[in-house]
Amino acid sequence: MSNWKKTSISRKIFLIFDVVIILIITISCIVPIINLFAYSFSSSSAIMANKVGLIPVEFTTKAYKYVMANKDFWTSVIVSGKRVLIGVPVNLILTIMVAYPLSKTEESFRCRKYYVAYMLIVMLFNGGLMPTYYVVAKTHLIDTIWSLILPGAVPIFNCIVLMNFFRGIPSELEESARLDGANQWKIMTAIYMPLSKPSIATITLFSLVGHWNSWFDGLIYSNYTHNYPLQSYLQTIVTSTTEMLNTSDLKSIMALTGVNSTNLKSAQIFIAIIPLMIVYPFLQKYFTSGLTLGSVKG
Amino acid sequence: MKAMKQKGTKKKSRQKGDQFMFHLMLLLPVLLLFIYNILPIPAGILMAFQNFHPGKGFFGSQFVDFENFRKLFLLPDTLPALRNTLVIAIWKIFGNLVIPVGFALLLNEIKVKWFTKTVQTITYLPYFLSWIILGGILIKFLSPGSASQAPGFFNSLLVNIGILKEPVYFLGSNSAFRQTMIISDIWKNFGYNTIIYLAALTSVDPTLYEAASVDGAGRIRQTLHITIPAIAPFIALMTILSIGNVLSAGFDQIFNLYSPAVYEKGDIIDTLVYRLGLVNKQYSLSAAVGLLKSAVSCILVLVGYKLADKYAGYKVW
Amino acid sequence: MKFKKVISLMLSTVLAFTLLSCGKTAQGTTDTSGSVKDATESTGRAQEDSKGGEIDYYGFDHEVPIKVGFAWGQDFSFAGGDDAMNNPWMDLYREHNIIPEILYEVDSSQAETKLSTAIMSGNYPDVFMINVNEYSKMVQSGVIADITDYLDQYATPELMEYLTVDNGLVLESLSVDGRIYGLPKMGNSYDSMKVMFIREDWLKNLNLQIPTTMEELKEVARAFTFDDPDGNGVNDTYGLALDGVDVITGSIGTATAVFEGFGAYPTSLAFIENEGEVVWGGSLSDEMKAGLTILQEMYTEGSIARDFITMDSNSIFEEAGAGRCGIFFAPMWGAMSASYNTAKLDPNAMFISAPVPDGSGTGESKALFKSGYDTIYVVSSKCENPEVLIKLMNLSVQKLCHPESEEEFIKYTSYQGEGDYAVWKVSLTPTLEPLKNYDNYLKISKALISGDEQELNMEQKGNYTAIKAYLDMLEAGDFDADDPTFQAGSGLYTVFGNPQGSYAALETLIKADRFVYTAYNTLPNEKMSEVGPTLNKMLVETIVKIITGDPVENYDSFLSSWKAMGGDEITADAQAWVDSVK
Repeated sequence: MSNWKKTSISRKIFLIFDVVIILIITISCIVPIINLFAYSFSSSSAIMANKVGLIPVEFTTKAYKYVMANKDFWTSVIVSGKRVLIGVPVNLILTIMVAYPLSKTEESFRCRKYYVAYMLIVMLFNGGLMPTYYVVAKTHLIDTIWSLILPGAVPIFNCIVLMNFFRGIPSELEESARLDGANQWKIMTAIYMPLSKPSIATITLFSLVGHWNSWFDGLIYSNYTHNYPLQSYLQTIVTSTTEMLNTSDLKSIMALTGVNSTNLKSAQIFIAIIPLMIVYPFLQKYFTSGLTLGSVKG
Repeated sequence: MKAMKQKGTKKKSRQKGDQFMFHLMLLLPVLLLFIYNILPIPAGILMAFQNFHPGKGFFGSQFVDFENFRKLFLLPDTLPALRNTLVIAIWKIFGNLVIPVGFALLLNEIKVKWFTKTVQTITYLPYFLSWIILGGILIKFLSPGSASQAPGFFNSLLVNIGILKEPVYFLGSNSAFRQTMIISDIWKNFGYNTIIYLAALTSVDPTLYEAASVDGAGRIRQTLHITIPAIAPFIALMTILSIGNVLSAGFDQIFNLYSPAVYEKGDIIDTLVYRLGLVNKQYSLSAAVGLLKSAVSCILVLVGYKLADKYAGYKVW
Repeated sequence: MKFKKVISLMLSTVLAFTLLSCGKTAQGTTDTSGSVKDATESTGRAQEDSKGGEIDYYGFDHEVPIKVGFAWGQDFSFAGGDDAMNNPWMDLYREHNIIPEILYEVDSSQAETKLSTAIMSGNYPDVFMINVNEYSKMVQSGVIADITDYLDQYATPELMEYLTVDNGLVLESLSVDGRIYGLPKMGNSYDSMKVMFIREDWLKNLNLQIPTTMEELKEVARAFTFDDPDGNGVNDTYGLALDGVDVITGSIGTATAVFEGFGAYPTSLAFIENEGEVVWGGSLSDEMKAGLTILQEMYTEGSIARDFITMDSNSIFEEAGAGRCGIFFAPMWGAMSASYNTAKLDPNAMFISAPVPDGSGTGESKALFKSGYDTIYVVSSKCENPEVLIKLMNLSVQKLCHPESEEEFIKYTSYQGEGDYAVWKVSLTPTLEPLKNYDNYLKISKALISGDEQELNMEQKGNYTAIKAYLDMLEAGDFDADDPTFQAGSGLYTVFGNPQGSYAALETLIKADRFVYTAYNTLPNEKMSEVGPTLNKMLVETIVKIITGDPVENYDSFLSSWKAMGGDEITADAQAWVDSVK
């Protein structure tokens, strides 16, 4: 900025345009979310009259109160929580188990190319919706948390990222450790892993986001609503076309007084993204270094 | 001599120990992958060539050779689905390369650290949101309203500014649906992609720029002759690697935003597979589509890998 | 598909607020002396038979487990500590040695996919319900069992009565090569017929009469748009709300009503007899063009919303409820939510009904009469005791149509009060009395005039009380439109209570037999299922384009395409069927 005075007029104009464009695009990324936020705190009549923009109109917390009392919503949050707590470590461990051996050269790991071919096949082919469901069903995973974890337990993409990162670690470290009598397991845990913190953080982040956002498996592998993870549960309400206020069932009307499906949906969606919004800014630094270091060569 | 031999045998046994360790590490992943990724493949192939009868299972259902594939091409949905998939996927690949690169270039010009960091942080928020969530948000956000009722935020804004004369039914009309899918996908992903390209940009040797400006080259020329050529290989690489994805136009997104009204321009292969299998219970047809898609994608991915290796020396594995 | 489910959900909800009547309300007759006493006699008879003979109509002598799956709608929830395994119906089944085992319990939006994956993996429910469109496919793929013999053997007289309330049309249509593979949930043909809903207060304000002809409709719609019918000095109203998304297939705001007023019936696969021949209801070119002309004129004038193209049924509810439109066509339950929503804005707001205005010049529009059913109960081909389906339905018909006492009534249907819920929905094969709503209307309207509640059954009494409460609140002028009792009463009033309500309008049709009966009364054949959707799409596009400005003559070119793309073929098929059953 100290050079501002020195820069030419045309450059100044360009920079101003540049900033403006960037600002517009950037703002466009949060506007829909602010809109959502506004809906969730607005009254149903304001929404029907479509008066709501970026600010809540006729502020009310009725939608949130209803959500708080909604057992199904919180049950699904817990399922998602369980899924993340188990699934992320599983992913991580298995990723490391795959990435490490495959990061060695053909020389030091004799059968490497066979395993690579195996991974390649897995990456290229997908059995399809129904056959996969069939296998999951026959292995008795339906309605268990494992149906959400085992089928995707080895994330190949993450393995590639980590593998490339491992490759970047100087082999001298390994050799000197060998001379000290360490076996591969020790080398991996004592040397490679500590040095790969950025990359591990990155793949953990991928895994976390993946599990949190996953919805399709929850829907087809669960036979009961109480087994749905959060996003699956949200899917059933976001796409539902039943306008609750049209039912004549007294009880439903009673329960939903003042609550319109829009502010209700918005509240639930908003709560669902709060964890992500809180967590992700802090991970940015890991994210940048881990990803680029790992995958770009040359 | 003996010492050396000893060292030799020690090395050998350590080598053997190493191999054993490697195999052990890979055991569990390989097993899991086998059960859940490899096993379904023959099952899918079988189903595609059978008239799958749920009661009789895989071993009892009758084989019908290519009958399912023939039926597939007679289905009115197939051609539109294929067309839509290609159009949407190719545009997405293109957009997801160009826009982030462009944005990265723009951002690179601003040397104010806190500004660029904040921009990056904000712009890659949508990347983390699932399409369920974005679907819920966008349906209301892009709503065209009705009668004398004000439309959703986006339409209202565009009409007020004057860009549009009247609201557009982004998610409900065949003329706007594809574009909406493409643009919203780019919007969701560009923040994340920008980070990658920005990193590539910052890795360009700054002395090159200094030398160029000494020679009298303005920013634009510098960009054209230094920056772009420097990151060109990287961009090329990313393009090549996306060839394999040209048949996956984004199930999550389309599934949560489409409706029968826009099947004509918005239905893709994956959503067709879903409907055939999980709604219409036409299991064999669904498997047939899936198989075709897998087969073609496989070829494309392999082509992509070969090209990446040849032109950029990049070996995925 | 999903839309249909919403409709049937709403229909079912309306059909069974609380309890059921048990009168013998066969088609056409209005013998409504159905009192609890009658019911006792009839069920008593049935039980004697089963006890006397060897056949157990309601259960087994040993435990028979059956696998079931549930898909609850968003508007349903248990109460009073009940859940899917513990409620009056499950208890009833267990009493009769039918032991349900739950395979899955999900949201209704997952119903299809759950069933698909279950069937695929070979582990699917023994008893479940399907949509009529899937029936042929399921028969072919061998997923469901042939129950012809079981029906003959195990059906109670009450069940047969229920199944043949439409003179056996449905059963006939479900037979494949003489065998039957499922039993229909009988519906009420009247419940799906369209009537016109119109703002009475607006008519009064502008000194207009209810339109009885299409020309009058056009005029009233114009007035509603430009003459400030709500008197607020703002130009915020318009005449007719139309569904531009589902146009023909939807029920709310459908344009079919207008065409019916002219004598054309363009709904998909609606074949009628015209001058001795079987034709598709939409192939009557003159009538269709007349309808299109009027709609086009109304659109050009501005009496139909500019953006009706984007409106679906939910939007129409919003339009009506927000007091923007003054007229729309819908089935009898169409104004239930709009009723109390408009009351919030204007205490004088009132939706009344009338038959669809006439465009044919005969003074009388005719509604399409088709068999009202789209759900079929089936039993899996893997089930070891397929007769369980018949027995379940026997139980259901007994408890829901002919309960022995008021208590039984309450127990198996639902009630109005704290901690109670729509119990009937838990039945595996809910079989509500088909003509119930018509009966309800007759009884309730009579009671409102006479003040005499004696003849009302529990459900009718509940509705009656709600309507009365609503009317009292209206009169007092002091009401809270968010009060659930007000809302329920106001909705019910538009259907049953208002002398110019929707069922009153239907009664006019019923009494004068103002119906055109469908000729082709069996399941769509393969060709029809194949070309149906495409032809329908073409039709919808053509209609919308013409309304918004294309020349009306284009309809004829559409008809040529329609014929060429399979229309002729399916018409010939329909004709062949009709000839074969004559």
